[in-house]
Formats: sequence, structure tokens, C-alpha cells
Amino acid sequence: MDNHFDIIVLGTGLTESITAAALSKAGFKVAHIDPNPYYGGDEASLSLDELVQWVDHYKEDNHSVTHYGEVPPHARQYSVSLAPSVIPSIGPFISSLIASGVSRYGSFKLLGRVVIYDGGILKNVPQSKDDIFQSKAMSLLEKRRVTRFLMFAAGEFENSKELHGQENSPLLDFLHRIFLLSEATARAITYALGYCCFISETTLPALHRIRAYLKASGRYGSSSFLVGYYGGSGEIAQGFCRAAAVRGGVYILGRSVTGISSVDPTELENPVLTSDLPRFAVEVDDFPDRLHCRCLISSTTLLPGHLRTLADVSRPSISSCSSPRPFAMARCIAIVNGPITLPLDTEGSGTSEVSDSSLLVFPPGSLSGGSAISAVHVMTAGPGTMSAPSGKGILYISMPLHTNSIHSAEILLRPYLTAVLSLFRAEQQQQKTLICSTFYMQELVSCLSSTSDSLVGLLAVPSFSPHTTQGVDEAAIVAEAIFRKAASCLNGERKEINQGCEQHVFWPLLDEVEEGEGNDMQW
Amino acid sequence: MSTSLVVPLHVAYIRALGDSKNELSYHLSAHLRMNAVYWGLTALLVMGHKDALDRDEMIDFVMSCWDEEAGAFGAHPDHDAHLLSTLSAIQILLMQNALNRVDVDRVVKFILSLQQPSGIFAGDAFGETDTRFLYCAVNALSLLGKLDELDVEKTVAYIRRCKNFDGGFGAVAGAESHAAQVFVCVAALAILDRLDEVDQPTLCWWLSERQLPNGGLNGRPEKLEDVCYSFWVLSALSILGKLTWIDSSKLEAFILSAQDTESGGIADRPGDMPDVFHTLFGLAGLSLLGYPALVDLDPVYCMPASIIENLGLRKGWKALQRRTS
Amino acid sequence: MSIEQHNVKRSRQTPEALAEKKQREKSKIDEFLALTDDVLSRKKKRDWSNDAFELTQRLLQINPEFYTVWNYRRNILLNGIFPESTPEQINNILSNELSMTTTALKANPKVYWIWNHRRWCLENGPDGPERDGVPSMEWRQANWDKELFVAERMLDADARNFLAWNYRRYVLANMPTRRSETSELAYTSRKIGANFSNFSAWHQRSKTLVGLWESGQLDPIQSRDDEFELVSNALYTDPDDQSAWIYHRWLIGSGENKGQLEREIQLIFELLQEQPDSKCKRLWCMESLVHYKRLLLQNHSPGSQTLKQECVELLSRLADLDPVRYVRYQDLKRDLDQ
Repeated sequence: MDNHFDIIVLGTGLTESITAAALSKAGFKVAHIDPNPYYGGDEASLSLDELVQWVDHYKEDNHSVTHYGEVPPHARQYSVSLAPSVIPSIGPFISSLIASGVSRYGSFKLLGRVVIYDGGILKNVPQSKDDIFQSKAMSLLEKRRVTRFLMFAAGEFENSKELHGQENSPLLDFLHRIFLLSEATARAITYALGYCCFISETTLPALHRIRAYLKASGRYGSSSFLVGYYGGSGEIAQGFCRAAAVRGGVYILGRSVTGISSVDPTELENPVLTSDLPRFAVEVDDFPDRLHCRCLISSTTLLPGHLRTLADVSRPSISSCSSPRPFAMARCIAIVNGPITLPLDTEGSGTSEVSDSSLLVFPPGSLSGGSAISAVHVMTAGPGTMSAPSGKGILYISMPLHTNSIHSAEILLRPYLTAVLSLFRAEQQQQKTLICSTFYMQELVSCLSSTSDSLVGLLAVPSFSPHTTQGVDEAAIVAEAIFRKAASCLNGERKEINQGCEQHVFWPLLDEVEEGEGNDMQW
Repeated sequence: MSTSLVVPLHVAYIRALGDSKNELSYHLSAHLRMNAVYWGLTALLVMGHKDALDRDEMIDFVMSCWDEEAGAFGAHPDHDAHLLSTLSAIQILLMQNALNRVDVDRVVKFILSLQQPSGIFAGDAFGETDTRFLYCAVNALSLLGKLDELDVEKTVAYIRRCKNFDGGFGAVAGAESHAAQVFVCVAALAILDRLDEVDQPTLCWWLSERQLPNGGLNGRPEKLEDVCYSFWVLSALSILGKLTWIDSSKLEAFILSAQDTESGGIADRPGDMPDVFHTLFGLAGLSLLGYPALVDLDPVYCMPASIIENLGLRKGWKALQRRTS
Repeated sequence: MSIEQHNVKRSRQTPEALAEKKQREKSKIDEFLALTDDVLSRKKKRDWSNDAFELTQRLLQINPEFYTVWNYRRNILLNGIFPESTPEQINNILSNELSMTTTALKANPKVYWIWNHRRWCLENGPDGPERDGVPSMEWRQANWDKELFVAERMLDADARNFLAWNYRRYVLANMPTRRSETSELAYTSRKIGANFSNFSAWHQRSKTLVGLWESGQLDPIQSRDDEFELVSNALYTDPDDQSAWIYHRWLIGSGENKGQLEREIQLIFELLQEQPDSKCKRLWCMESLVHYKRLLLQNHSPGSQTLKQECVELLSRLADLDPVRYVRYQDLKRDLDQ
């Protein structure tokens, strides 16, 4: 094997995989390495037996994790995501999915209902004028005010008199004072339309998110979001890797990197014939020869300590992706018996399609024994996205944490699990038994500070944002930034690539453009 | 965008319409050729340029569309007779002072054969029914001086069934009100001297609400504006004596902004491709709004007012005073 | 040249590009004209053959607006093909016609001639195989049911397509087994729920309700109140949308019910109070208030100077706010003085 590459990418998380695909498509020679035997890194989609192995591994690394229950039969028919998230129907991520052609490798469907837990019951969250019109929960005046707010949020609010001076007020407060919205409606908008994670998030960034999601609604259907099949994020990361492999990317999975050194080209054991001199040498378990590259892109978690402070970290942001990054996530994955369609609320509007992919939001303080400052998201997945065998369902419960918690994930999340299961029992009059559950604390590697004297060609990928709605868009934005840095770093010394294409396009036109998602009428 | 009407360009545009035989769309629209000639000729008359198209050639074309089997006119030589093209043919011949070429008895027979037991008219022997065809029949019979052969009561009874609570009329009984159908029903009632059938306050309210903030008119609630409604809505308002219920200067500006000021012609809305249909109805609207130097248009028949007056058919419509500048 | 077109953006092309386009079009034109000549000359010769039938199909696929060719096609069926066919074959042929026009409709949802051809197919279809000597109506039923489905898909694609609405009403009125008017009311509820700016659905609802009231299937008093509640939700959700206001005016009608009038006037007054910041949205509130107060004046309180004064004030404010319809407001004011 020729062991010289333009770029080596360490880690197959979503951001790294998008970057690798874009660089391969741009004609660079890429090697992509992951110590895990599966794609996706911390965003992987795992079968249940893989999940059990992952738990064991996680424990060994001294992480807090608890697991209950036996692995059920057909463990391989489950695809469990380590980073449950949804895809906004308009945004940088879906653009990358389509422009790269990766959307063709996967299947997607609309997210079903988004509901909010309010006073012990589930309520629909109005996302459009027509939802408001149909709602039986709101008074006429409230309807008027909510529409007014939605029109405001969908428009050019930046220079509006309503927003003036309120940009940094908590959104909840803004909704009360400026739009005279009731407590319940303001909560629904803050946590289930603006997807704020914490109680005091400020108005302006939340408005940006709300506008983005209002625009996204209607592109593929009434929901603003899509969900991926087979566990979502990990499957999609693998799709990008496949796109990279199609363009000649070399994949090495299940092998650890045992050493990385920045090299002095003159000391090479095999002098290179081209003028493209490598800057890094990577030692991979079981590989006799070191791999060389001129540009090294690595997830922060896989970067050895001595290089962390020398890496250039990309953290660009867009206005709709500016929710504060949590310190850690308390997560629970629960497998249950029985279909996982969310019970209808009292309104039971018969028009919404029944889907087993839905999102239930617990605002801060909504559940006794729950968190008073964090919003908790419960995502469901099941056979509808080929994520579980027939008759089984997956519940993902996630709680973002401001600071280090003295409590375990289980103590934090158990009340929510109990509440969700009892909601199912109460409203569907059927036993919903828990097959197995895993609670764990995902610590997020805090972003490294960018250093001005970073090593040329060494790029670090910040960890994937755990935010349910904005995570994938952030990944696409970061991937594009890293792509540009890598391309300009490589092109700086190789003029022949530069000829005729001064700046690389993130995704060149596909040979045959098609938008896999069904706009066609089928009858 | 232009603030004044570019008459020479529009005349040139209409003259050039017959020259586009090397475009597929010209041939694909053969089924509308007779109507197109009527639209083009009327537009020229409104602009005072009757002679821009050759009279003999036009009359020959009309006569070449005669469907001997049916006893009426098709849209194009060898096309089947239809009420739409038959009315256009009669209007063209009348405007060219050649109505004597028509076999009036056969045409009247054709028209009357299309009235259904309910009172509505079919467009041709295969029977699509629509108040548009009812208007075509009433208009054509009136121009031919043969209204006395029509069962007026039956005809009016059907229009009555098309009336909706908003004062408007639909294509058939039960159908939603639509400005174009409002025009055909109101104009037919005007010809039949039966405007008492119209709920005038309600309809005029509905019609005046067709004007949108940009000055243009739409055809139904919550729809986009379109230059052709400048005629459908305006003619009905003019027949009902309420042309002042909309803002004429804003509408005028809207129609003018839909002109193609490079190649002539008027489009459905600013920036779109012009066509002869919208060119006529834009000009017709401007004429009713009193735009300077245009010829008066009769909103009931959509033909020059003087021709209708000479036939003694003028009804009590009101247009805005013609401005001098 | 295009004779009648909507929504086609104007674009300027270079002379070279135009010339190239014309060259490309020339062969298409030649082909189209040759096909047209062939079909029309066969038509003159009363050629009712299968070949001619196929040719009409080719021509109509290029130009679905060629009404003469639709006529010819139907004449071929009536004079050439049906006399040689069993009822089952006729049913199959007409089913094919319906499928072919479904494709054409999806591409051209506003072409009258296509809808018309479907009507003809439905009306000329055989009833169905005989069972015990009686026509079973199976084919007829299946064709008409499918037709309702197609009309509804067309309305899913464009909820305001009035051709599709008219056609749907025609199907409902003529299908062998009628749908109940109650289910039609539910259909309009669904369409309005999906988008309450859809005046076509409100219109259909008004027609359906009148039918239900006249046949005694629905209590006019109770259901009218339900309708008021429904439409108030739309008024409050988006007072800028005309559809609900026009429907509301239908519900009020000539305003015989004083209590109802006063209740609705109050409701609109509160809505007007609630939105002090929005200028254009006030128009429909105020315009409706004038109308309803005038009804109150005419029907229930003739000579009330207070009501008259309120109307005059509202009309003055409207004339300021909405100069486009200034004369209308002035005319209404003058009427009040008389």
C-alpha cells in the first residue's frame, strides 16, 4: 500500500466523515482511521449487542454508566444512536446531504409529532397558523397573540421595535412581556419551537432558531425536521464515508493509532519523490509502515495530549446554531415492548399521521423530581425508521447539564423514564414493559482554545454538539470550515491542483442531481 | 417599468404575432387562433390602429375556419366549431364591417342547439357546460340581432342558480365565485336587461375587495393579482356603475408596469412574458379607466363602444372620463 | 408566440441563442404539423380505425388543448371501436382513457378539455357485468370512486384549483352511490384545517351546510353556532385573511338574529382592540363592524342615532386607513344619511 496521503482523518464522527467525503470529492487522497470497529464514533448507531460492548468499554474508561436488563432476542435488528438528533429540513446539513449525493444512500422520513409535557399531560406544540387555528387548548386572544409572534419570528425581526433592547432578555420573559403570551404558550415556544436547553437562554439566538425551523416546515411536509433510518446519525456518517470511499478514500477501522509525530521531511525513511512533503507520520496498530500525510484532521478526543494545544480548532457558528454548549449530557437509552407511538393529547387532531418517531419535550421544572433548569428531550424511534424490530421501541432521554453533576445519569433521568412509561400506560391502556435500559453520562470535551502558533496542517474537530435540533447543522458548518482550511493548506504548495480552480467548492455538482425525498405525488 | 403606455411597441408586437410560425408554441396554440385574432384586433382598435393588420387577409382567415358540418366557426381551419371561436369570429367580422359574410341562420341554429334543459350552454356538441359559453351565446345572438330566439327566462334562471352568497357567480351552479365568471354572468344579464338579478351592494363589495395593495386585481380571495382581471373585475364594476370603488391610478400603474417596454405586449404581471390575451385585457382595463388617447371600450361586449352604439345595443355602463393627458 | 400564459418569467436571449433554439424547434414543429395534418385528414375521411385512435393519443400527448382531436378521439370510440367491443372491453378502454388523462392532468391541471374528456368517459362507461340478469354497477362504481380519489389528489396538489373543485362537485352529484353530505362537511373541515386561507373549501362548506339544513340532517341553530366558533378561530388566528371574513359574513346573512349580531359585533370589537399596532389588519374588523351594525340598524333598531354615528365614525377611519376604497366608504356614509 502506498502510505502517503494528502490527508489523514482520525475519527469517523459525523463532522469528520462529512469533511473526508468533501476532501475526497475534491480530488485529495484521504485515509480515514477509526479505532472502533464501527463508523460514527460518538455519534455511532449500534446494534444492541454492540451497545453492550460499548457500555463495557465505557465503564473501563471510568465513565459513569449503568445498564439494566437482558439483551433481547434479535439484538442485531436494533439500531441505537449514541447521539439522537433530528435534521432541520432546511439548513446546512440537509444541503450537504443532498449536494454530496449521500441522501441517496440513506432513507429519511418526517419527524412525527413534537409534544410538550405540561401539567402531567402531553400537548401539541403549534408550529403554524393552521395548528393554532385548530388548537382547542388556546383562547381566541391567545391565538391572536401566538400568530402575531410567529409572523414576527418568521420575518426580519432584527431591527424590529419589539426586539430592540431585548436581545439578551430570557426568551420566556420576552414572550410574556412583549407578546403577552401565557405561561404555557411561552414555555411551549421556548422549549419546543426554539428548543432552548436551559431556563435562561436569551432571546436573539432562540429567535434565529425559531425562524430557521419555521422556514424548514413545509419543505417536505408539516414537520420542520427529518429523521434518518437505522439509528440516524451513525448511519449517515457511514454514508459520507461511503461517498469518500467511492472517490478513493482509504478506510482503516478497528485499529488504534499508537503514535503521531510531526516529522521533518528530511528524516524520512523513504524519501518522497514528489515535492509534496509530508508533515505527519501516523503509526497504526498492526501496520508495519507509518502512514504519512501533509494535513492531519482529528477529532479532539483522538488527538494525543501533546498535540492538542498545537491544533487549529474550527468553531465557526451560524446564528441558528448558537445554543450554549452544555458541559455534559445525561443520557438514557431504553428499549421497550409495544409500539412506541406517542399517545394523542386530549385534542386528538386526527389529521396528523401516526409515526413512531416523535419528540417529547419536558420543560425545566415540569416534572417533580426532575431538573429545574434543564429541558429534557425524549425522542422515540422504532420500526418506522427500521431502528427496532416490529413491536419494539427505543426511547432516548437526554438532559443537558450546565456544570459537573454530583448525581449519576440514572438519578437524573429515572423520573423522566418513569413518567414517560406511565404516560404510555395511562393513555394506551396497555402494558409497556421495559426490556433494558442504559444510563450514562456523556462528558463533552470542552473546546480547545485556538492557538495562534498552531502546527501547520494540524486541524482539530470539536466534539459533536449534543443539541437535538442544531447538532447536525453545526457539524456541516464545521466540516465546511475544516474542508476549506485543509484545501487551502494543501493547495498552498501544490499549484497544479490550483489551476483553473482558485477556490474549492464544498460540494461540486453531482453527475445526476436528484433529491431523494419524495416530492412526487404517488397515486 | 414605464409610466406611460408604449402604443407603437404594442402595435408592433401584435403585428408581429403572425410572424412566429417558426416557434412551436405558435402551432401549439392553434386551438386559440380565432380568439387570438379577436384579442389582437380589439387591442389595435382600442389603441386606434385598426389598419395595422390586413383586413382582407383577416376576413379570409375567419371564413376559412367555417365548419360546414356544424354550421359555425372553429378556432382554425379544419378545427371543430365551438362557441368560443364562433363568438370571436362574429366579433371580428363585425369590427371589420363584414358581418354579411356570416350564414346567420345556421350560426343561430348552432348556438341554440347548445342550450341545455337547465338553461346553461355547452361549448360544442361534446358538451362541456360553463357560464362562459352562456355569455358567448347571449353575446353572439345579440350581435346578430337574434336575441328574440333565445329562451331568456330559462337562461336567466340558470345564472340565478350560479349566484353565491358573496354576490359573485361561478362557472356552474354550486361553483365558487370567480371574477371572470362574474363578468360573463353580469354582462349576459346586462345584455338581457336583467341586472335586477344581481345583488349589487354585495357583489360590488366583493369586486372592490379584489384590489390588492400593489394596485393589481385578483380573481378570487387570497389569490395573486393578474392583469386580465383588470378587465373582468373592471367591466363588472363598470356595468354596475361602481368603477370608482377601486383605486384607478394604482391599478393603472400596475397594468403599465406589466408592459414589456422592449418588445411590446403586456404580461399577467410585471416581469413575465407578454401575450396577446393579457395585452388586450390590460388595454381594455386602461380604456375603462379613462387612459388618455385610447378608444372607448364597451365593457359588456368587450368591443369598441362606437360599434355597439351603432347597433343600438349600448347598455347603461359607466367608464371613467377619458383624460386628455 | 404564446397566446395566453401565466407566470412565465420574461427572459432576454442573445440572437445566437435564439437562432439555435429555433433550429432545435424546427424539427419538433415539422413533426407536430405532419402529425396534425395526418390526424385532421383522417378525421375528414371519417377514419374510425385503431391506427387513427393511436395517432390522436400521440397528438394529444404533445398538445392536450387540441379540443378538435379530443372530439375526434371520442368519435373514433363511438363509431369505430365501441361497436366492435364487448362491454368489458369498453370498460377497459375507458379505464385506459382515464389513466392517460390522469397523467395529462398532473402536468396540466388547468386544461378544461382534459377534465371534460374524463366526464365523457365516466358517462359513457358500461355499468358492469350482469349478475343474475341485472347489471351489477361494479365497473361504474369503481370508475366513479376512483374519480373522486383523483379529484382529491388534484386538490391536495393545489387546494384552490377551481376546475378540480367543480369536477369534484360533479362527481359527488353523479356517482352511482352518493357520499353523504355529512362526510362532505368532514372533507371541508379537513381542507380548512390544513389551510384555513382556502376560501374554496369555505365556499364548499357553505353549500354543504345549506344542503344539510334543508334536508333536516343538521340542526341549523346549533350548527350555525358551531360554525361561528370555527370561523372565529380563523379570524383571531389571522385577521388579515379574507376567506374567514367572507364566510363569517355568510353566517350572519341578512342579520335577522339580533343576539347573534350583537355577540359577533362584540367579538370583532375585542379583536380590533387587541391589535393596536397593525394597520392593515384593522380593515376587515372595521369593515365588518360597519356591515353588521348597519344590519342591526336596518333590522332591529331603525333610527338609532348611536349606531348610525358609530358607523359613520368607522367609515371615516376606514377612508383614512384604506384610501384605495375611499369612494366606497363615502358612498356607504351617504347611504346612512339618507
